[in-house]
Amino acid sequence: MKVLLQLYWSFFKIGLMTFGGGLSMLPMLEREVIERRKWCTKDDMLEYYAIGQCTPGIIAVDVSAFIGYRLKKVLGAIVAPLGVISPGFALVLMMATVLQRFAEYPAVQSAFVGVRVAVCAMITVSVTRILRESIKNWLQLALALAAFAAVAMFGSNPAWVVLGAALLGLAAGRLERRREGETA
Amino acid sequence: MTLLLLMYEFFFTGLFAVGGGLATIPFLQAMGRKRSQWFSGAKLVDIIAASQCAPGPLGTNMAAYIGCSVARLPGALLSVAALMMPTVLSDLSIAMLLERFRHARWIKPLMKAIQPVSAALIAAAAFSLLRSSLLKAETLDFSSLKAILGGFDGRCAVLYAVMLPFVFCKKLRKLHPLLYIAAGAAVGVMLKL
Repeated sequence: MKVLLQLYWSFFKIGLMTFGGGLSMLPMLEREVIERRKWCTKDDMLEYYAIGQCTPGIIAVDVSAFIGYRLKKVLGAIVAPLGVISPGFALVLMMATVLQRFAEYPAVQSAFVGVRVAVCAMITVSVTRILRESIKNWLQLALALAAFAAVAMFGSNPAWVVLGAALLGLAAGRLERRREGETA
Repeated sequence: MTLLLLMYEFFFTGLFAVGGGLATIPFLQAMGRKRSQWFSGAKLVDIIAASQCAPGPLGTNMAAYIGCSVARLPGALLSVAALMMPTVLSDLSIAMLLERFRHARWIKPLMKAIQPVSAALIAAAAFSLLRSSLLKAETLDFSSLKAILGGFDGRCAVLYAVMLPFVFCKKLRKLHPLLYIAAGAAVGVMLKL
């Protein structure tokens, strides 16, 4: 029980101190989870991040779930992610209720126009970073262009696009293994 | 009924959004188109802004915001829970089979195909967010250069162009997103955008 409470509290603090999600959490995690609590090593942490980036869903939830599982199995894997999302959850609920009340004022509306532009600028930067990190060769560039066209021009459902890519990847892996089998 | 729909939508978002919070944005956009009574395209940018102001993971914050505006506290709780469910379930199964997962040879080619596609989906979503924030109308008239320039909301486009180098700058990038959002709000009020 004590460990569960510690897990929740540690991840609550990490959730409270990180802005911008996923990767910006790393320094806080190092201080709290690796140095202070000694719950795992840096290598473990990097492996959890790598897995988080290639599994569905939110990366912060992945990393906290793995550390929680390490300490307290299934219960830990539920409690730690809850800790990490709690502070943001509470604040967002407050903002959602307050903003709805003030949304009609003209000053608030023009503030929001400016805010939207700021968000667009930040997202532009994130997108260029993600594109640079995930496109490493011509084949991947072609895949990305095809996916972009499918969604932006033909309005395909993004879920089908992801599923299609998954099937392609699995098929390519099979083909590669078969070829290796032939040469061996 | 609305609660069930919320859970269904966010469960699928969690299942297909590979690569963290930003990767959920294309799915939220599709959600806004399909269930326009929940939120519209322009509203999504406000949701992202509020979620970036709050601490913690962007993805769960956005789910909480949407859930709350559709169906109050129960909506927020169920949306976040549904979004996290596929993640936690896949993590649990991986944690139990970590050794085997690490050596499975089908993972690498799978990820090599999904990652660029997921990035492209985010880019497409960002593209249409830009369109809805910087243009006067939903679509741009490409008939002449004048029509293209006239289609932009001039002051927003200028503000975007001024902000971009600040956000791109390596030293300033680590600054709190709240700072940029506050700056945007201040300029918006001053210029009565």
